[in-house]
Amino acid sequence: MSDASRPTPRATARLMERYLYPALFLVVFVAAWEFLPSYFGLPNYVLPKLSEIGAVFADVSRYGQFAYGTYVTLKEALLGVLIGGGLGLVIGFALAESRILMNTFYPYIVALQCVPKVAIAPLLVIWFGFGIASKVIIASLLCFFPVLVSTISGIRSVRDDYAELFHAIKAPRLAKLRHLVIPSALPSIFSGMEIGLTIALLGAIVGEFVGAQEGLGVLLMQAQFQMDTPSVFAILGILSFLGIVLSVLVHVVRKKSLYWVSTENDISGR
Amino acid sequence: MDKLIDIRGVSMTYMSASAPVHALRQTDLTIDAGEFVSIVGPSGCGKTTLLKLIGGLHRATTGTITINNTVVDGPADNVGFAFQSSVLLPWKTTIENVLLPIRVHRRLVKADYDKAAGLLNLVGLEKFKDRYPNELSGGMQQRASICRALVRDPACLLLDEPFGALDALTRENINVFFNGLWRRTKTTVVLVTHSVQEAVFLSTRILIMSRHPGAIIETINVDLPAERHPALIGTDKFATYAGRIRTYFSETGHE
Repeated sequence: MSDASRPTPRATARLMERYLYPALFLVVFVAAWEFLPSYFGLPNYVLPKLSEIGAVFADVSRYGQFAYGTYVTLKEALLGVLIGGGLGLVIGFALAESRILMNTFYPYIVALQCVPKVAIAPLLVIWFGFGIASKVIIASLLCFFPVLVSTISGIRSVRDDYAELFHAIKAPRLAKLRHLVIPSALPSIFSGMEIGLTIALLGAIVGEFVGAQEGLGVLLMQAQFQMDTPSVFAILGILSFLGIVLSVLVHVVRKKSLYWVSTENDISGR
Repeated sequence: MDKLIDIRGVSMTYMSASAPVHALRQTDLTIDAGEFVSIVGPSGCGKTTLLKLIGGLHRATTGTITINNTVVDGPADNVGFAFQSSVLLPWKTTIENVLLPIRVHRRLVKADYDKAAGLLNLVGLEKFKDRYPNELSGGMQQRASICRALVRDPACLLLDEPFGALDALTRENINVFFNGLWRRTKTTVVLVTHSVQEAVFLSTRILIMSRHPGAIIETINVDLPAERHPALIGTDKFATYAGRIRTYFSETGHE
């Protein structure tokens, strides 16, 4: 009986695999970043030591700058998701529900998708100025396509046998949409939203590179001009953190909304 | 007995890529209220076609079908359908799935929930009414899908091999249970099945169909008491019926 409470060697090994190995890797990685730059004699504008990047975050006087930059960039990206993702969703449903609309517009949408949208950022800055509008439009454009495509493919993934059931019970169109089509399309729509969110953040930053007065992208460019590489890394850190927080958020909402979808194919195999 | 389903000169032909396919040859058939009719035959003999024509899911090329003297012109409210797979929506609980045929037409009221709960009680699923389909076994899912077919009090129940995917033991149990359900609800049932044993065990009448083109080639009235027990399967009478049906299968199989 006492054996049952003691972890088996296999369970211990698995725990080590899960927690100890990643932790060990982190320690090695941090140590390498701290000591290798000076060991190889790299100047700090090429590769700063980790503690120098940490010093940027320790400087409370810069917090205001970072916080405001984060606010601006995040606002641009989220407005982009709202507009671009919203349009992708609505147009996706319209196209999937109407064959005429699909046949008329889909070829052009596919063609548009092939345009490297980041490349039209300079044009958008000319048209809409250095303010927030041009960045929101770039983020919207980038977010629109993945959401549109995933919405259409989600609606098309409605199973034939479910469709036949709804035909047999004479479900009106709206009821079919609500009880069958939307729930069927939801997993795919969430995947599109996940991609759209990351890509909208990218769009906002690229827009700021091209021409802007405020935002994390602007701070990044300023740090680069001053060869202030520790600040460049610090801002990259903030951006990565933003990206992680956003995808975790989508993931949580996805899990709550798609309670019926099993998570067996989780990448970590838990 | 009262005539419920009347099929007059019904045939169905559809165009394939190369040539017209005769899915069902001219068929005349009458089914009375309260009957349990099974349609057996080899794959591709048009049994599912015939069932879907009765249910209004397919349109006949010629002829007319009436249910309760009303011409079938698309799916009717007084028909309940159950399919090969249970087709339960994974995002709805068992009771919500059962209520779906009502829910798509109007807001639900307390009486609807009572009705669905009563049906689930009848099939032994009362403890599972708030569970999701993926928590139910295959047999439970099929029972739930039959409740869904029954929830609008249909005049007739059309079943397209609903027990085909179940293992032999579960299938035998569900057959016994289904015999009881039929006697209690007094619904008219048309069942498409591959299983000769299932057909004899459940039916009052068996229609045998052949291929090329699909047609009813024989009708067998099963003269057994309405209440059927598993022990019936071992009796001589049962074996005689099953044997008679199998002769047609082997004949048509050699075509």
